[in-house]
Amino acid sequence: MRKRTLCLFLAGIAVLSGCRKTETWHKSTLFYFDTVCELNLYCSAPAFMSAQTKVNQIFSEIQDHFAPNVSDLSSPLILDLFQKAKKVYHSSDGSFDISIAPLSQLWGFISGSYSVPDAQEISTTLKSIGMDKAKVEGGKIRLKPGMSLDWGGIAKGFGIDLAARALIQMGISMGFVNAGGDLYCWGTNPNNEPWQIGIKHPRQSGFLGILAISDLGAATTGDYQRYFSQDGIRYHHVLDPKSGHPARRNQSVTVIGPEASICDALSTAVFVSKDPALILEKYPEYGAILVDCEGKMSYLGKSYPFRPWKGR
Amino acid sequence: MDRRDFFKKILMTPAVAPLLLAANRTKGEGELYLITDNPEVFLGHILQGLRKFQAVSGINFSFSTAHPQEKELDHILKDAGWHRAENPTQADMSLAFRRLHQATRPSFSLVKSGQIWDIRSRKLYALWKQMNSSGPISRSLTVVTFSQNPIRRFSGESIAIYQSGRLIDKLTLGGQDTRIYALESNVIRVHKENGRAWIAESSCRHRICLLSPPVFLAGERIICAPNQFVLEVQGPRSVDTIIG
Repeated sequence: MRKRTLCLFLAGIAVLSGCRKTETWHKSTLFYFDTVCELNLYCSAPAFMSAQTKVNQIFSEIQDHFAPNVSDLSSPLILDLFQKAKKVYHSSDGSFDISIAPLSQLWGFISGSYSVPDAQEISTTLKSIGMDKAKVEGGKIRLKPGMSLDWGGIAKGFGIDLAARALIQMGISMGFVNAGGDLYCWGTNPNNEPWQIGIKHPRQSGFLGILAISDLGAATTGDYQRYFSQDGIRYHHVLDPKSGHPARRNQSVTVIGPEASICDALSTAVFVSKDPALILEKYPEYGAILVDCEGKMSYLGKSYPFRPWKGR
Repeated sequence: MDRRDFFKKILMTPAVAPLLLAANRTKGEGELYLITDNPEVFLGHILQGLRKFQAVSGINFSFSTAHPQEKELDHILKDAGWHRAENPTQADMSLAFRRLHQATRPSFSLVKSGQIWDIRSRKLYALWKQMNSSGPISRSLTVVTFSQNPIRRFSGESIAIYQSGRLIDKLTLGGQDTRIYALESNVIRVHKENGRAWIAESSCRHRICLLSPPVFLAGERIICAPNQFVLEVQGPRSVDTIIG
């Protein structure tokens, strides 16, 4: 009897041990949005496999829905993101504008055939710019002739939000999703601290500084991320929808806040705008770290833990 | 005064115990506890002695609390080549003042990662003996906190090369070398020199990888997205991930 009890007890332990899935940190690298995406999650191995599958599914869907010149403008995802983008457009007085695609095309930032357009070309193209000209009618976005949409300033953040939300719903309590420099992080890092996020310096090797955040998104827009030089002048991809030229006030802007998609859009808006403080007043849960055209750092909006990099 | 006596005196000051507990959390940094009414007389010599043991690095200092000898300390440190940091976060060394509950003989002790750091230095020992035997008793404690230079701490040790998520090469960051990676339809040339690495040649359409500055800190990357090519610096990290 005692032997049987002991055997049953040991068998029970063996079964329970097999059932318990050990949680640990898992990392992987994916390629979407023409860049590297990084996942770092605290979960069991089977959960990580499921998580990767889910993120692949979400990022593929986002990539397909928001590709340049996509013709279907009626999907729920597109309509949802259009409304988010429109809100930032109005809040920023047009500094963030997804109808900027014809301008991006003119400068060669979509095709990769870079060139500096003349004033006449810019003036003509500007007539097609302005999100107000796009309307949602009959469950579809209607564009005026010559208009096209560039979702690059918000789609990646949107994808990150969707992915993070899905992973949290799957029960993954700690981790981050970093897609080409936009990210969302939740829980604590492997050292049981807030996530330590390095912000790239816009001009030098090393970091501008380190954010210590959790349950937040962050996104950076910089004049060094995509540019070409001609006659010693840098022409970068962050175009001012009003002037048609690259915005010149800043070298980089990082926005931190509850949603990565809004951080993504606001980082562009704040980068371009001449009144960035006015924009952030409308988003009290968001803060920004700016590096102006002369390399001077400043802070706007809500403060988040940030230590400037002192290794210089 | 021996170590036990030193700690007894120090820990009787409630304000100091949190500092010692905090010291345990901040690995790699150290603290100097200096008991004397005239820290400006001894600090310069102590710092000189500690530099040889690499306990001290950097050149910027700041005061984290008001100090009765601030002016004298400022003067002595500047004479020794230190600079007063405009921004306290830029300081390699931070000075604070505490008043001990109980007066005691002058002495000093070094703490690292929450433990007494026993530095074997004849000069420092001689200085300690001189302070302890001849100095007037004191209730003044100067706590000097050292922050290790993050560049030295977090400079990478090696470079990992990934293509389509797969590790294809790994090399140390030291020395000088050029590696050529022939991908399906492109060639990427990676160069490393003086502890930094960069992409020297790439036929990708964006050319952002070519425009990226050399990388050297652990965690930094240069990415050639069209080729799914990643150059990553590996080593002890200061950050979990990078944006921008």
